[in-house]
Amino acid sequence: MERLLAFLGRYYNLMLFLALELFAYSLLANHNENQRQAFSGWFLNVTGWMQESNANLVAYFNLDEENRELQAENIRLRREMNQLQVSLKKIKSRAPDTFGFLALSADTTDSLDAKAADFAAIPARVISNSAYSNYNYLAVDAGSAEGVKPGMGVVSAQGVAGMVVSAGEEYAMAMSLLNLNFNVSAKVKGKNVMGSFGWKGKRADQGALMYVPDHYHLVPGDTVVTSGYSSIFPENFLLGRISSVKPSQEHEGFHEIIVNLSVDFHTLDFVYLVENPYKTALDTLKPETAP
Amino acid sequence: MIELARHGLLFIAYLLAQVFVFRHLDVMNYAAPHPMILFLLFLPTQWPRWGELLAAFSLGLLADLFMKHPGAMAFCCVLVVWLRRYWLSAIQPGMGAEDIEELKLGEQSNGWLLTYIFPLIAVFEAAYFVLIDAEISLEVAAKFGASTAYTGALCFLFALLFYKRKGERR
Repeated sequence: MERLLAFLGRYYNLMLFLALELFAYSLLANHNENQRQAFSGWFLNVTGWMQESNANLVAYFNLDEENRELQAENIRLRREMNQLQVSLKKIKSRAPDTFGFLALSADTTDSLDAKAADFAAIPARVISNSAYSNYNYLAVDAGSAEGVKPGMGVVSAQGVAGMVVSAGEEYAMAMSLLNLNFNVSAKVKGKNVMGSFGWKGKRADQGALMYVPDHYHLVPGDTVVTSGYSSIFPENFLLGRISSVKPSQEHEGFHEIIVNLSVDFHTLDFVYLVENPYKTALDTLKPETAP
Repeated sequence: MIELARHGLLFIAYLLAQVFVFRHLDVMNYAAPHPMILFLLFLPTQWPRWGELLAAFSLGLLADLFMKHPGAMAFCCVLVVWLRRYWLSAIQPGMGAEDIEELKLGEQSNGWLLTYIFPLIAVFEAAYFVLIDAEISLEVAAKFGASTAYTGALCFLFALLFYKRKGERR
């Protein structure tokens, strides 16, 4: 205590100077949007740097596990690529039997698939993450310098993890899927049943698929993926698997669908920041169609 | 007590002159005069630092009430007053803190006054334009250069008229 008092007595001028400067700047930032953004960018870079240093240390001790995960992801991608190539060959080989109709269809499918697959993917590492509040966020070590911008999706090898809400030069902040404000257009794979996917705030490993009419037959184990209809995520990114389906108490005529999330947010580390290839077109259309 | 009242009156005079006169005398939105910082540059060196800081903060904050960017003036005034002692030590080599307190600013030569005033004004203008434009660009550099020259010339003129000519007034 004495040392603290001695310290305060010795440096009170410096502390007064810093306090006055801080107060003046906060006044400026509170009344001016540009200054506020400049300050948040600077603050994001500083906190990002500190969090990155911490994450570097932790990652150093987890390198083995990370490498294994990356290898597993590479293998999965290679298999998926092979399967797609086989499917493509099958479609093309059937073309002469249908007087050109299938050939045309295959070409059209090719071009659509090529465009859908042509989304930007920026690799990044999660340097800060939370999963214990109702409004969770995560920070990643890629920013506007790498092309990251607000509105991009955040996905990991396991599936959808969040959405970028602000981007500094070297770091970006994303709204986690575990955030009550997070919603994304989703569908049940193979059945093309559409719905809205969100988190209900109870468990960090479960989400909900909402607004699916009860005449659709869905069963536990069905896969829920992004529909590609939102301007954030491309199509077919995994959200999770249905764990239970029952009539909704809240909305009559709809299912209440609980989904086991594919991403484990407690071990989330490497992610990709992706952008829907149709984002520009969708964003352009929105103002004209919005009420 | 009389000295304090005199500085109180000077404080009000500089503030009113800045807000009602010099605020409207900018040149093409580039060169903005801020001669009120002369009040801070000529604060008695015997004052305690907390007194200087509070005087600078009050002057800046009151001027800010009439500006589009509240807080910017207060920030820059406090910064200049904080740096003033270090700058005085730098341009008076060999002087200790006690010697600085004995320094009579009004009795110094014209060259010394220029050396003392211009760099601190430059710091003020640089901080001010970077703060209100929230960026570092050629336009900000132009505003900084023009305003430093404008404010510096005015401050030097006022220093000659109101401080140096009458010698020690503290």
